[in-house]
Amino acid sequence: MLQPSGRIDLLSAGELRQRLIDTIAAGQRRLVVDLEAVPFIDSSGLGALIGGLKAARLAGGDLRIARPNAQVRTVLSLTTLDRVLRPYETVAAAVSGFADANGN
Amino acid sequence: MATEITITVPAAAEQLEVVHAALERFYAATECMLGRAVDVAAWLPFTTAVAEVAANVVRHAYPAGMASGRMRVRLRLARQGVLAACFADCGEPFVPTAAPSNAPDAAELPEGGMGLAICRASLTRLRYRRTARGRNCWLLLKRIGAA
Repeated sequence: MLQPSGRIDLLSAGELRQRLIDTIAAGQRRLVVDLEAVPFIDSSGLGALIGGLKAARLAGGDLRIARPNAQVRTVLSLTTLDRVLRPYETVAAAVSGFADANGN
Repeated sequence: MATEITITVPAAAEQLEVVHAALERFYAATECMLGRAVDVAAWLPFTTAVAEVAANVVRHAYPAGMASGRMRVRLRLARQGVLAACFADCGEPFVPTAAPSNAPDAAELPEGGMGLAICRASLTRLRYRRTARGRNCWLLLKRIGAA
């Protein structure tokens, strides 16, 4: 699980994207990004999450987001990316989703 | 309290937090003027769009190495409950590129180029013009109470 903090924007998105890619490269294919401490995300930040999602799926895994605030939900909704980055209410809900997927 | 806030900052990624700080001051001023909280359904898309245009100016207005490039951001409460933001810079003209489609297939998902699509979806009105004096001007309007 990753817990970025602070705004994810033009300044910080590259670092998050690299962390996601590194984590997946290290063998962790199922990622939960806990966004509780992220007050704001812009299109660069969304791009980083999408980059991580694609890398995770290429590796046979997935990336999920938990606890996004209202601004993050707004951006996900405006871009319709909430269809592929579905917000989970809690970290446990996101993780249990993985457990279900494993069970199937 | 004035409901107009203007900042002029270097067009650099490190300055985006100054734009966010200005938005916070603008929120407080607008709340004071309206006598109530600003509807989040208008405020969140507005701040999102302001941040996107600011990032767009930072990324594209000035060629790399042109450290002196600046941008001016004016936030104001226009009449009839309209949140307004005006951006001005003296950089290169904005050249629009094709917006990515909203593709549901993960392999096709865009990792960039979503900024202006977000702005268009967020705002009541978005206008760009290049002035005769060689400035880029962006106007962002969001009506409070509009979806």
